[in-house]
Amino acid sequence: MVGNWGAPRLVANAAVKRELDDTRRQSCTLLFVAVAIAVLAPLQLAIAGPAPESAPTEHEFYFTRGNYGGDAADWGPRWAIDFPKADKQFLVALTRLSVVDAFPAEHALEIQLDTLRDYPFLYMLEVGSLDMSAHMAEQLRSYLLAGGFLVVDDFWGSWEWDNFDAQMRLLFPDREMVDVPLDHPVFNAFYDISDVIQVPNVYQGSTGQATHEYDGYVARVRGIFDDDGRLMVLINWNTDLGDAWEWADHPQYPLKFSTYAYEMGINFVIYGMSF
Amino acid sequence: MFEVLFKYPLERFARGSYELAVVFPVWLGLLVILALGVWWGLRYSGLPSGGRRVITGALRFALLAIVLTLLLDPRLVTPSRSTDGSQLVFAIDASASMAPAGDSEARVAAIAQLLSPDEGVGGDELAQRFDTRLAAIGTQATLLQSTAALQLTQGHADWAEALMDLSVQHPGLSNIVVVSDGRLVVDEALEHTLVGLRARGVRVDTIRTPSVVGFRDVSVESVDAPRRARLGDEIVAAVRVGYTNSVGQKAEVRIEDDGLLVERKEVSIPAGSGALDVNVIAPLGSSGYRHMQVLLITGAPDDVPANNQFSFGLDVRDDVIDVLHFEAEPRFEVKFARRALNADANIKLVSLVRTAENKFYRLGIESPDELVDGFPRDPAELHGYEMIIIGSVGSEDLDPLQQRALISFVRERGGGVLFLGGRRALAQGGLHKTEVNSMLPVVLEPEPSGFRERLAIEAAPLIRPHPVATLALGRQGTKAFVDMPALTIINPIRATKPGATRLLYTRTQDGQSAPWVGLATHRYGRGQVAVMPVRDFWRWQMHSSVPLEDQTHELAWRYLVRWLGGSAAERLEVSVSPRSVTPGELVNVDVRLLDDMYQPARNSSQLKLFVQADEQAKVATEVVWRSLGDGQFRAQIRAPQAQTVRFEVAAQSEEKNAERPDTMVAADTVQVSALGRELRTLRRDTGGLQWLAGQSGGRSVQWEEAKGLLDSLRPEPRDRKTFERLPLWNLPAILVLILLLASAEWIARRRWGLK
Repeated sequence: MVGNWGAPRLVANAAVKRELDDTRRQSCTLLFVAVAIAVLAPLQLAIAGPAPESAPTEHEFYFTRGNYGGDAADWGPRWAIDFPKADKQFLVALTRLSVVDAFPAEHALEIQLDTLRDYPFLYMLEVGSLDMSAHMAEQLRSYLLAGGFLVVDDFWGSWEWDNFDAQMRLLFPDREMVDVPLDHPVFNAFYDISDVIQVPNVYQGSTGQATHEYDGYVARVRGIFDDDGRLMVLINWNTDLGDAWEWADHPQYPLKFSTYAYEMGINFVIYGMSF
Repeated sequence: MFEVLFKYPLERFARGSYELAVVFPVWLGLLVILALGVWWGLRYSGLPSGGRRVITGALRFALLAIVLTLLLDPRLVTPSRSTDGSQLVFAIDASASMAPAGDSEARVAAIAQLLSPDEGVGGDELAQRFDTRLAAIGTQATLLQSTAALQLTQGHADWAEALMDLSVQHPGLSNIVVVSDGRLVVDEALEHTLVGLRARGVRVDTIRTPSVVGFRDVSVESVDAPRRARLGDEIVAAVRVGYTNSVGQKAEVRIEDDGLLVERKEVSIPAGSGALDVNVIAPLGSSGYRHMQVLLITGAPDDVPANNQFSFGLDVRDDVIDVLHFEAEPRFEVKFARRALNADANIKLVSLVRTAENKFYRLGIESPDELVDGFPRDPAELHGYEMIIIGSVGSEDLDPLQQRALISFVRERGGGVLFLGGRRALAQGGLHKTEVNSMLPVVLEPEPSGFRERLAIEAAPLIRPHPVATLALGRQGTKAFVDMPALTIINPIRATKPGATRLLYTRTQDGQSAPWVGLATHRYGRGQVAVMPVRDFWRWQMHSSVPLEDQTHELAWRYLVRWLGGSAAERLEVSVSPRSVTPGELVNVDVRLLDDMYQPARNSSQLKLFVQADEQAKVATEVVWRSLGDGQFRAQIRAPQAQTVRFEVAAQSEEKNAERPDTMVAADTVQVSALGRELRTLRRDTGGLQWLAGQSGGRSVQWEEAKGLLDSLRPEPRDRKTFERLPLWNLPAILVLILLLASAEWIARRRWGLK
């Protein structure tokens, strides 16, 4: 069953225009929020202190970051890249721009835990070095088949793709990862996304360098679908939405990247809660 | 001499009164007579012969007055007293249930022995006291010359109709003695008949025939099953198994769909006599009219095997239930409800999710304009749905117009509404301060308590065997809840409103009782409202303890929707009763007709009835539709000789909307069988005979006491004051008077030489 995605835009009636106006207005609000985050986030982080205890029944939505263990780089474990600032800043935007009842702090969870099933939305990044155990793979597989929704971000180039592809084969040997077309509801669940752009990391974005890393020249949005055509895994390859969330407050980081990243992120949440 | 002239005795004239049969204004007659008198007086008063003219004129005037009076048909009214009430009718129950084991001849012989030991019905002694008659009671009363003509083979006894017949045929009726096995159908019609008999002073006594020694029987007494269903539904057939003199045995209840076995259930029949209720859940595999049959299979001796089966018709439609799910904030419930319901081809789900202030995400809509302004304010816009799910929606999310549209959807449209829990829902959302509160089956806490706990859900013990619970919970019934993970309740509800049914309650994870409402429901107007104050029903699907292949969450959603949405009112509904009849039995065809705004139709002029017997062509049948109010009409028709009779009603739609059909059609069927209803309830003595006798002050006795009853009966003559109206126009005295007056005038004229 598909939703109303695409169809309203084909008819230029007053209702559709009103929706488009709403979207533009929301985009302006988004810009305002980005600026507000730029000003307020350092202060917020300074006073936030330790993350509040999460009571699993407290809120409808938890932005759950998947802790898959693995090796650590100089800046910490790969699963925790941009953590927790990106998560927190994204949640500020999410709760400001939508009425999602979201837990307002970071929420990381080891993906091999049974409690992962309590949180049907999961965000994982730097999966170019993902190395799951059999148990972890089975947990993630059953999570997705039961109805969980995984958003993958920030891995680049063919080498990291090959590794991620191999990891996904552990879960679904027979399911292909295919491009998600722009008329898919994930691109207009909240904002109408008309183009997939490459979001660079903070260093490249703020210094004006090329946006790609390794040989990942073109950003792709791919997915793994279940038997009913529902997206189980949404793969943001050759792009770094997390950095754009984290560094929206960076004076030199281009606004167009963070705006796009927030729009995409909110769309992911609304889609993940609806399909 | 007096009677020669006046026909009637003097005494009658003395105590009688007079009246004119032809109603005529007296003042007009007097006026005419006065006018004639004045005219005549003015004309002749001045003449020389005026005195003589006055005499002859008076004679003529008297003659004219007599003729005029006779034209008004004068009568003598005399009171008189008469006595009657010496007729006694033996009303013998001739239905098949009187001889269930095929012992008709023996039964007839016993009755003959009781009623006709010598000569005449009731014997010589009784015949001296009464004018005795004998009648066999079937669908009507048939007078018999003697018990030799009595046959206990009629399908069933219609006591209301038969007693009415006897009353009409016997003006002098004073006593009726009913001889029956006691398996009476006491209904409204019989009550009315007895009121009439009581008013006439007719006494009814009853004699119960003896039970057959060693008689054993098991039967399908009744089956309560839906008339309509949707493809994919599972119907609950509530089967009542009756048993007489059982020794304790196993039996199997089977359900067949057009001859194909679809379900079987083993039952243990206890020893003795009684009844057993068995709920059998049967899946439906095909659409269209289904001929369903319930069979009771037992290996034990059974004197009446014919009553071990029961047939009923079922109209299985292959259409969809349109469901609207409204959430005032994004919730995972939307996702998991869609996953569960979209897999059902007979459910179409539209989700309306408020994602931001005045921004709605619409899923499953068919046109860009559908729900474009959010939740509808116009009740007509909601009429296209059969069910609405209200999730985390509070008073701020529903303005008064939207609240009234929702109330109208249930009350007038007859739709089903399910309220879920959530932070904006129910009391937490302030719904107790809105008009919506009136439609809820639960009592909302006036103040949000801040309660938040995960609780297990359990089926309420009293509800477990109830078909409603089975429908709501699905084929797995209450078993589905045994391993269910704990769910979150943040809207604790402790009480239900009067008349509401609590299907589920809660318990804490450590097994402690927390008997708050898990699922409660009640009828509201034409529709149904349920509250399931669970915040995260989706957890049933996602929880790690639930295997991937487990479908209970999906099924629970589908059953909830099919239960609440599947019973939404149609604009035209037809139901016939009883559903199983004997040929010639009266069938009620009940119709409920609503206009395009789901308001009750006021007249039946647009209704047409078509009757189809078995595979024959449909026949348009003229009937009289009697209004029962609230858009309901009833016609009565006798069941033809057939196995299955389909009653199809067509209603011409008054609306001009081309998108909807001009004519609505609905149908229901009855099964026609020679097996009377009484043969299904052989174990049952309904107390009908005691009731029957008690209504008129009579006695109800067992067979052994029958002789004593008959000996005690005495005629009870009743004085009756009547009025006899005797014609006076043809009295000989009148003729003599007319002749005298005419002769006198003639003689006077001759003598006085007048012209």
